[in-house]
Amino acid sequence: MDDAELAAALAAAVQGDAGAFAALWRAMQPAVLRYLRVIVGETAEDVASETWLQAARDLRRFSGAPPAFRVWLFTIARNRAIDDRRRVQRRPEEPRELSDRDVASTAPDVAQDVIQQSDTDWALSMIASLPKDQAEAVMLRVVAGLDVAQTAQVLGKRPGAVRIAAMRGLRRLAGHAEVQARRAERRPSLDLNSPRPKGV
Amino acid sequence: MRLWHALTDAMGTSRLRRIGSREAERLLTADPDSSAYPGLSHLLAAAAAPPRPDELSGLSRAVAAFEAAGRDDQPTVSAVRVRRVLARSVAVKVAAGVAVVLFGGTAWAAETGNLPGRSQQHAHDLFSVLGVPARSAAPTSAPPTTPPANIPSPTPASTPIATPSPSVRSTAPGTTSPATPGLCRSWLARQKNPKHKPINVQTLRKLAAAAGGEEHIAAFCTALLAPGPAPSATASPGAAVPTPSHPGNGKGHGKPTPKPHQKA
Repeated sequence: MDDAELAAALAAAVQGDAGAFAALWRAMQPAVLRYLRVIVGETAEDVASETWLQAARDLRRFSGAPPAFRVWLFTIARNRAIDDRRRVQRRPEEPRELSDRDVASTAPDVAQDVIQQSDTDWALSMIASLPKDQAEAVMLRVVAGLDVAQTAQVLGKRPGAVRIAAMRGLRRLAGHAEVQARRAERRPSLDLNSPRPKGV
Repeated sequence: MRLWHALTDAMGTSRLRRIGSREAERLLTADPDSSAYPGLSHLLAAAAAPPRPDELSGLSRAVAAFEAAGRDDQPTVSAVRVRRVLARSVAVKVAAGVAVVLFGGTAWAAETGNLPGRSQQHAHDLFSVLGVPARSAAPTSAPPTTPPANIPSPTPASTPIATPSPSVRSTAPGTTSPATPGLCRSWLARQKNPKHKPINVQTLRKLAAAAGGEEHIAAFCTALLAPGPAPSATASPGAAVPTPSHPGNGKGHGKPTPKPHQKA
């Protein structure tokens, strides 16, 4: 969905049009979910759901263009993710350190990885292995499609810090043996226009 | 050189050229095919690949929430408004309470003549109707040992009922300081009884100023405190008229007030 379509859907949804809201959801949900998979791991679906509940409640009071809407939506997603991590921390039966290491270890669903480890899943797990600020910066830039200033807004950081975090994340990924190994064998088979067939 | 390679491998850094900020920006935004880092470009493209069907579950719940929010929107807004109104009324009450405590305390202090001189005078100017006495030197310069003979029945002029004879000495002439009668009393007491507390220099100076010279103090004070018409030569015709602004029952005269002082 380009910005013009998104703007039209956004305007209609703000007026209360449920169909337009569904269009916004379809346009944004995959990116929201992937971002959340990288930062909260297995609870990503639940957090995405909470994100949309809040967006559904507050969208009628939103005013702004599509770029502002993306920032708004990913800020909600990030706040819900932070809440989720606090919840997890409070649960005594599941003691978890929420360090960078932890984010890496809670990479995309294990079950799904076994059944269908797609390129996307692999890529997300690689990004999730980065230090958290780098992983967030890369996801918001690449998957959410935000620019530096918008990413900085979502993360509450200065643009310079976002730039550096994304650059370090890319360096680290580029140096990763798995990434280097994939470049030769996988690249020709990457089809960006259709879901990965099973077992790729 | 081999050592260097081993080191960079161990550190997980690329043997390729190190990514700079411009290169990073290109990787983050541009077509992956043009990249000098095919592995990384592949990864980034895969991360942003089109959605799979399993990533698009949950739409119906989100839409239902959106529609519910539309139905609830009105009550939600009014609930917010009610909450705001409540918050405001609570704030007003708190402010009013604070004002009562602060102002009430000041008013009480003013009424009992306990404010510092200048403030007492201001309070008197503002609230004389309420019976706030003027600044008075009586508490300090008119000790309780003042002979009762000099003091008329201290009926507050502001008391609405049965003021037998609102005497001049309970009020101050308009041209002299309201404290002057008290000073005069002290001065006269000192004259009659040498054991009485001595008059301090400031009091003496004030009295001299009011009387028009130290040698006239005796005559001035006697006239001022004598019952009858306006004592002061300079007093204006209305000066002797008792007003509620000068209850005259300055604190510390050692005489019980006939009635409890009531706030108007």
